[in-house]
Amino acid sequence: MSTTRRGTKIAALALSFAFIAAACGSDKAAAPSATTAKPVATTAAPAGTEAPADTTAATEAPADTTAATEAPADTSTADTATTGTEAPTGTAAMRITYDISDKAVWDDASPITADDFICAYNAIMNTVGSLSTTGYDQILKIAAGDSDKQVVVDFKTVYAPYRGLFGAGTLIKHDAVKNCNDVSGDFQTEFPFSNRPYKLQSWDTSQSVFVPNENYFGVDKAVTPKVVIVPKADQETEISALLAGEVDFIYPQFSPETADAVKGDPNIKVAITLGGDFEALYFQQQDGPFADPILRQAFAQSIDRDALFQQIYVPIFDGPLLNCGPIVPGKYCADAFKDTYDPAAAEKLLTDNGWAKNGDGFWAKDGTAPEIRWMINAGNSRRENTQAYLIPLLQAAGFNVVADNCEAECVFQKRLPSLDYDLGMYISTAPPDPQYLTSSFTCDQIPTAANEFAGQNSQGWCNKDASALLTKADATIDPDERAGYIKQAIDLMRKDWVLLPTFQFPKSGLYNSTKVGGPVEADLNNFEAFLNFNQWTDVDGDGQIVIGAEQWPGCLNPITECANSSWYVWTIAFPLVMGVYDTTNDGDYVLTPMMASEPVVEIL
Amino acid sequence: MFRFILRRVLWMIPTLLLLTFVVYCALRLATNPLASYARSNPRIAKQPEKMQQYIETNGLWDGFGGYVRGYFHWLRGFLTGNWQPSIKGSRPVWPNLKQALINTVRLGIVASMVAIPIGLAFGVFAALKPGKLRDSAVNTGALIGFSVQPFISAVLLQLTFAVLWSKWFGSPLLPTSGMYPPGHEGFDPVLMLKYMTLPIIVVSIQTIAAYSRYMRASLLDVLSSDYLRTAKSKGISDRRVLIRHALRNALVPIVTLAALDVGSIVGGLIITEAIFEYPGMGKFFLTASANGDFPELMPWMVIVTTSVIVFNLLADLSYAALDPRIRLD
Amino acid sequence: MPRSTQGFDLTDLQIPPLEHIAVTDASIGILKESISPKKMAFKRFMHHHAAVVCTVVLAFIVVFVALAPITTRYGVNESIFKAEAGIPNQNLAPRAAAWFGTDANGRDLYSRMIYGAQISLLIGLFTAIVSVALGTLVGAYAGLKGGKIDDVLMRVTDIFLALPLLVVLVIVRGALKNVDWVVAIMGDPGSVRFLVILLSVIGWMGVARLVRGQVKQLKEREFIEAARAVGASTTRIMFRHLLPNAVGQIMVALTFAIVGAITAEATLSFFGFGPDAGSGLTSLGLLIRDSKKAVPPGYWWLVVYPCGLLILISLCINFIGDGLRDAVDPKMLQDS
Repeated sequence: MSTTRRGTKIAALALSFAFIAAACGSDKAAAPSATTAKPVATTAAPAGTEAPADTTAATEAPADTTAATEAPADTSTADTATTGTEAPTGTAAMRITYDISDKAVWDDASPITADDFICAYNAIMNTVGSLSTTGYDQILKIAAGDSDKQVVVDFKTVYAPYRGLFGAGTLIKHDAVKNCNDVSGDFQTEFPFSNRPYKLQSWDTSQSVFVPNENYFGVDKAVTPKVVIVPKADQETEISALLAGEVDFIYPQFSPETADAVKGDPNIKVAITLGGDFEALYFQQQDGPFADPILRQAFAQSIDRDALFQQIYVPIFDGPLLNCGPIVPGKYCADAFKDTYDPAAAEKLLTDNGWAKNGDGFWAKDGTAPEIRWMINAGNSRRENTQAYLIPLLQAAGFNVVADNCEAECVFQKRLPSLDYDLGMYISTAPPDPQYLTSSFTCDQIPTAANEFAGQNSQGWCNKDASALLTKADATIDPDERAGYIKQAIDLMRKDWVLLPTFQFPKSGLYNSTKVGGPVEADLNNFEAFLNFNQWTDVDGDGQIVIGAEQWPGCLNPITECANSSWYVWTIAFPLVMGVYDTTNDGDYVLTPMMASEPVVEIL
Repeated sequence: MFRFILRRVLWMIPTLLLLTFVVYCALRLATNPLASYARSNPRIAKQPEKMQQYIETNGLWDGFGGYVRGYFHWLRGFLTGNWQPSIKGSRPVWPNLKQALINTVRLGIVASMVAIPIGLAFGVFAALKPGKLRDSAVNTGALIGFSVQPFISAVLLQLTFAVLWSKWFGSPLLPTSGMYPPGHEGFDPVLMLKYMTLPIIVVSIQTIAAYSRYMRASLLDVLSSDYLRTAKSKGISDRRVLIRHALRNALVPIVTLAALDVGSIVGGLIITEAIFEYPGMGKFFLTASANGDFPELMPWMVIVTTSVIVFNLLADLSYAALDPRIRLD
Repeated sequence: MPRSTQGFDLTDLQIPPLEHIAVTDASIGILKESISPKKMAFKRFMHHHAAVVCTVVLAFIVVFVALAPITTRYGVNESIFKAEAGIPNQNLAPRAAAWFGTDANGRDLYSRMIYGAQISLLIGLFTAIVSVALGTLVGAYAGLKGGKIDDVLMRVTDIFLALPLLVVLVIVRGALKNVDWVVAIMGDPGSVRFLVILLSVIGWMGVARLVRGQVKQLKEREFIEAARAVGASTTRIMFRHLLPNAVGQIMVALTFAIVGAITAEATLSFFGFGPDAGSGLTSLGLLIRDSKKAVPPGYWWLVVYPCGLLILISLCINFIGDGLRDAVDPKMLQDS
């Protein structure tokens, strides 16, 4: 009896083995293999990667904000990661001299010196990780100057966006890591230094705790003895926690539900400002139906952006329609995308160029009505609603549009980089400096074998004139001249129908005024977000301020993959490490108290 | 008996091996660890030799042969305690996994201790007067309990006890998420129980429904069995004696089912944990699978499946030990 | 070996242990007296009042849903009117223009619930049919043949049924969507077809175990022995003698498979693994996913109606299944 049973079991195991073998074997043809998988830069995520709103699973989607700032490395340059500390050769085109304040010290009272700058530079260039090397790869030489409180940096080209270098969250205290050239093993569960009002006392998967830095050298010292940041899975949980008094402050992407949710509670204050986030429709024009400029233009002109705005965005926030282009209002915006809706012109354009409506009522040329695949990240209900609203209208206008969605990871890591879509829709965050336009819209940033498919120009738009203008802008120090070039480039985007901007997204801070006070609303529009929490006051006297975070970093390393998550930089890197400049609420740069004087820029 | 146990324990090994291999293949396909790694480390991804090194270190070869080889590579690392670090954050997997395991077991045990006795009481209550009003009431209640999915009850409970309560009475009755209030450090059972209350209720609804039905069915089964009829016919008329006798026998299959349930606690509270932000195994799984974090998911699966298999065995053993009619072999 | 004597129905899948627990009393009550004339069964079913009421309610829902364009008032993605600044159509409470109120996009919840229920019921029905057909064949064959086949079946299903359903679904879904030829067969991961096949791939196991248990008992009975003695083939015994006699149990399994699939769809959608809302369809699961957003602002209609409808549908099917089971296997009532 028992022997037969054993026999059958062995047979059973063998059989299932064979079954699995068949199942797994199929992978060979299917899953991308190691050699064919094209690596995709996390920084690439043309932002928009707010976590798929409704999955509680998405605790840490690649986030938008830094994606744009730390922008896309110039990937075609030499492999800097393996060059070690030896500086590239060549002649310097620009020199910047940084003078560090004598008062500036780390939390252990040791002075901040040129060594910390050099350590940061080495870590960024040589630690294999994901922090973009853009800008740093232009550095020819970095060394201490007259004293160890002075840093002299030589650049091989004129680099206009230099204010973004050595910014918040980048400096590394040189003696806190074992080897500045490879910090990938450091910062596992601790962030061992700070030059801000607070230092990190503890961090784990359920909370991070900040306590005052006793040796902080600035005037804006920490007010509350303890600040706690806790993760909340999604907006609903955040809002519930705020209403229930479990957290004092949250920083969600604004939605009408948010406003309605807190309406009944007089203690909850809602502060809304229009920040750097914007949403747009993008046209992939390298191949597919939109490679035809006629169809592209007609399609774009058939979208009633005002009506779309009323339907989808006004309920969110009654602001203006965004007409700037891939940028928010400010000194680089000339409303280039005003009045794009013109269905009559679209119809005429198509008819004049040999298009006619076929039996299904779709525009067709030479007998074919091209299918236009509209891709969004499934699960984002606003975008799903936009599709549900626009697709019937566009089909009625004669365009064969279909929803072709997949999950956030598939959208941002796979299909955008491989240009596998026709119409896209996502949010990006514009940092204070327009340098990101260069890495997102120039010809050499189209993902190709040359840049190992890591380029950021996922529209596949190549306009030589525009590329030249953007490149020139980055090497132009004079701000007005630079703005002029950028405006010209954006005009070309309108002319070529690269995108249709729709909405500048509000940033919102919600807080319970019986629990937290002070300048809570002052910095909400800041690229560095709620950085000023050191000045907030603890109204209810429980000795702590609790901030709810929407995503939770998986690690604390400022150089490797976590550096590209906005909630990581907002909750860890920015509040712990100040750099040369901080960003302001108006989208500008301001010198930090760490510096003795404005850096001296010399064009050589 | 001893031989039976020995055989079953020995059979666990190939079962576990086979199962982890299946899971290995499925997860390799589902998460594509190499792609996850490349995504997390774009600059490494651009260096073929570094990627190749990662493949070699972690055994991520392609094709079925590659999977088999990779599996044994992984197995060796796993058994020797040489676990791969997580892809996201390159952190050791075990400390977090251990904490998650402790938290989930804690929640599961407390919830079972609350819910199973209640469910059993309902079942006995119903079975004593089968076909009467109380029976249909319990039966209907149980079916309603089944029909209210945990994600529905969780959302409604959060709304009632936290948001609305605080609107009506000024402060919330029960916390909606987490295991401790923000900023709390250390172990505090009272505070923890308070934070566990809502998750326990959600888990309990379905557990009570299930056990009331198990118990009712099992007790009716015993009451209608031949030996009780015989006992009755022989004149043992004391109803209390009968019931006590029947209850003991009716509990035999229940113990077995409870053992099976306890075995699946480890991985089975995902929905509740996700909604209540409870830092347990379910949350761990969802986070890891969202990140495509293969090195975190494998040990998770091993722990969950081992627990299931071990408790399956315990269920069989308990069944044999408690029911004299069953003879193992 | 208690596990092998228990049939596990699909509700096992719907409800993983503790968090969701199976209605397994069919499994505990060993199915001794299952063959009874259809009329008797029908009578017994009619005796189960709740099941009868539920059949009527469910039939009403099904008819309502099947007549979708007639019974609805707006299209699935149609706003109740074009919104202008100052005249919003979003998140309106129930009113004459929208009986159940509107959602975040100004669409009529009443109409969307009908379309959503349509998709959910279709998913439930198709999944149940596929899994029951497959499960019955495999279960009957294994039960009849016994031996190796039976052992493989028990081993494989043991584990799959013991693991949490959501975990199995998420991992299997992840694996399937990365295999090109599977996607070619199953369609896009956000499609209804993909979901039906995915749920069937898991769903047949519970049915197979149930049918296997049933067949194992039937096969010991005289008429089967007789058929075997006169040399009837396995296929003939299976289709002519065994399955007709197990049809009651199969009906019960089908009922629970439907409700299992409907709740599985809702669970997957709730966690963002469900059908793709952008492609213009909706389902009960997707509506409930959206309802989560409506909780903090207190848009009660977006929560109460979809959740209520899902609870109502699963409650009804559960009751019908319960009634059917009592009808097919009257043992529970005998002793009273």
